[in-house]
Amino acid sequence: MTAYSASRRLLRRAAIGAIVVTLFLAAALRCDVRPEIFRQGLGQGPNFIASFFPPLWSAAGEMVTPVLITIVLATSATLLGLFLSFPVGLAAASNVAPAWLRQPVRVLLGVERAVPETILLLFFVVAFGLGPLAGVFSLALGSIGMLGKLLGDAMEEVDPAVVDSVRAAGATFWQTIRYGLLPQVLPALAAHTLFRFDVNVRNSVVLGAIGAGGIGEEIAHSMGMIQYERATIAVLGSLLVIYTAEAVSGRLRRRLLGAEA
Amino acid sequence: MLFGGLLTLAALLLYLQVDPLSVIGQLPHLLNLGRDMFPPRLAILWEREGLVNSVIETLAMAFAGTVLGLCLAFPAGLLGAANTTPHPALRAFTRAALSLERSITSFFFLLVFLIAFGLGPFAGTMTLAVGTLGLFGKLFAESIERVEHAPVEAIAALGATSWQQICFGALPQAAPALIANALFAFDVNLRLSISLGIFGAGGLGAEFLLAKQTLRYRDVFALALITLVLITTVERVSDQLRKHI
Amino acid sequence: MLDVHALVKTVAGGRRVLDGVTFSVKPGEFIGILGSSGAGKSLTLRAITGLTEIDSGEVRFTGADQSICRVAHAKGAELRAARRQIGVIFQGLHLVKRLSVLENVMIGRLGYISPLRSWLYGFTDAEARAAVGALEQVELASFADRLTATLSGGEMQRVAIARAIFQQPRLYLADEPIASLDPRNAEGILKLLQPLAKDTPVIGTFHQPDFTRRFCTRVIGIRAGRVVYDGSPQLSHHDLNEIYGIREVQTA
Ligand SMILES: Nc1ncnc2c1ncn2[C@@H]1O[C@H](COP(=O)(O)OP(=O)(O)OP(=O)(O)O)[C@@H](O)[C@H]1O
Ligand SMILES: [Mg+2]
Repeated sequence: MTAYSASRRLLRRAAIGAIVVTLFLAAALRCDVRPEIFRQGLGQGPNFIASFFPPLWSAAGEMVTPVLITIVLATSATLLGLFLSFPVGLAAASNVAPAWLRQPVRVLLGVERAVPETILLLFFVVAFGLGPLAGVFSLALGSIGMLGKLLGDAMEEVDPAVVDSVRAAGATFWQTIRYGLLPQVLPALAAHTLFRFDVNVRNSVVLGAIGAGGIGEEIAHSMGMIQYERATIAVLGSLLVIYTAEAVSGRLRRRLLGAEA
Repeated sequence: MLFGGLLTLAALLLYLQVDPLSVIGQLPHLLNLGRDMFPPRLAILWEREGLVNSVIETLAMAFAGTVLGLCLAFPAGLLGAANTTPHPALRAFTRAALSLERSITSFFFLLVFLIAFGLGPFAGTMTLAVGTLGLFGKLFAESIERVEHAPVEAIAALGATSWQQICFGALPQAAPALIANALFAFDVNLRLSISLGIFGAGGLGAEFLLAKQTLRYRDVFALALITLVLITTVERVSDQLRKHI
Repeated sequence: MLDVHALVKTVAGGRRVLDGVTFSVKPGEFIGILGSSGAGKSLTLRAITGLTEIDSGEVRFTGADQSICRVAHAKGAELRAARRQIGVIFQGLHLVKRLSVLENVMIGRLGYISPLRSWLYGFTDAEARAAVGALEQVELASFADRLTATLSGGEMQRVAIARAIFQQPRLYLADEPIASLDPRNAEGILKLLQPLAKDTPVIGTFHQPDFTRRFCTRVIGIRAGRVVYDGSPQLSHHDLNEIYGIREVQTA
């Protein structure tokens, strides 16, 4: 006979449901998710939301510089990360770097990707003090984690025949990389860099709030000073930046990948 | 091209009033910091009361936020997918709302929730839920739209209701992608919950901030290691689960 | 049983892809629809189940309770009630590949189970046993627990027939049930459909006049959205020319 059994299916669904619900309830309890807090919060809701309106339009002018700083922060971090990911990527590729170099680099890349940018920022703030430099470094480091790994992986997958043919023409090591490896990984690298730019813009807003400056700082500051109408304007500013970055990066990426396919 | 890029970078840094060369001046300071952080004081794990509790708090926040957010993201995905939405206008509306939500930075939501619900992990949980809705509502909708149409139409031709067409035609096809996304959501939220802690949601992030502010750098290093182990473990486990399914 | 009257469908560009298709079906018939590619065979079948909207015309389907459903104009519960009684065997690609063979067969009776049940756990053990019975009829009982994606094209086609059988419809529609099958498999499928037609009429679309000659009780020829032949499956050269327009090709 067949293995189909309605009761077993029902039981399995109930069991999975029960496990998830129990874990969820335990987690929710741990996080103080209590109906009365919720009710209380919702009770204030309408008033609270109303306090964000009308937006303080007159503050819009003050947001231009912070918005610029956020964009510049994300752009320079992406560029720096991109540059640094070349040597790192080479050092992480098995067909380029020796094992003694590759393995520690790979481990470091994994570490970089695992640690959230905000934590990296805390380190850099200690090292360089508050300000955009700490922000640039933590975002750049995060970018290396992604782009360096990508480059390393891409280098390992590069068609050896192409590399050989370039090498056979008498090219030096660097020429081989430049003319044999790079052209093959460039489209993927460009696409990932654009994606990383999008991520960096989002993160630079967050980092701004904990010391890197820019529009994030304005949001945090306005909220802290209970100037909610001003916060609305700052949020609109960040919205504009993030929206534009996503749209631009998405469109360029689609064009790149579309041209590839 | 390389040269142009470097020049742009330099110009941008100049705009930020950052002197790249000042980094060199900072080097001794950096070395000092390195010495201060070393060796990591892993003993905080058992010596510092409440640290284990903070780790659990971070995990709980991530889990509760993920489940709550996915419960919202799933219906949003159904509404936002062309082949399951009750009306095209509803799809457009859902998509626009999700996209707007994704663009509002999560720490703003956190600040709002902190004011509404008070300091602590509850606000963090709500923030994660909102973020999960924005990102995974979109990803769910995309996975559901990638489903083959023919099997669903065949089920419609049997006289099944639209809901049955979704349950038996669309969802079984989309299930692997949906489950992979759900696991990914927990990954994302775990990182985020640590970040949110810095803003007042509690958990490991709060420990980081406290250790840094009280200049306990060896503790900061130890905390970073703990974070690393936590995140990589969760990543491994979800990879394993994904392969299993 | 089924009356199809003057179906008309115009698509973008003003081309009439159905141009007055009319025929009716009586119990015990096995109708083969012939016609060249793009003639409108699939569209006719889709119009009968209301999957494709038509511009004008009428489809009258007599249900089990002798009530008549005007399928082309029906909506909601009425349309579902009619569809429950029409078993459709599509061209290959319509099984849910990620479900087991048995589940795909059981889906045939989805129209009869309550929304709550379909949400909670699906089908009962009794239904599973009945579905195995349907699989036995197509000689695939041993495949019941296989993932459908792992089946060959011919096997999937037989699962599709098992699903339709399990549905216990009052009319079968089969859109190219033997397309992309080797001759032996094709013959096997037709030998499955032929006995079904004794109790429940079958309408199938085909590209092989030799098969319809051997198995069908009646042939309808469609050309450019019009019925150009309706009668015995023993087609003459002249009839074939009418349907496929070979003469024009020759004179051209
Ligand atoms: N939604 C649509 N929009 C535009 N044209 C359509 C549409 N559906 C069908 N057609 C056209 O209607 C005509 C008839 O299609 P139909 O699928 O019925 O052909 P068929 O006789 O089944 O052919 P085949 O033997 O190749 O399956 C074709 O020319 C097709 O391109
Ligand atoms: Mg067809």
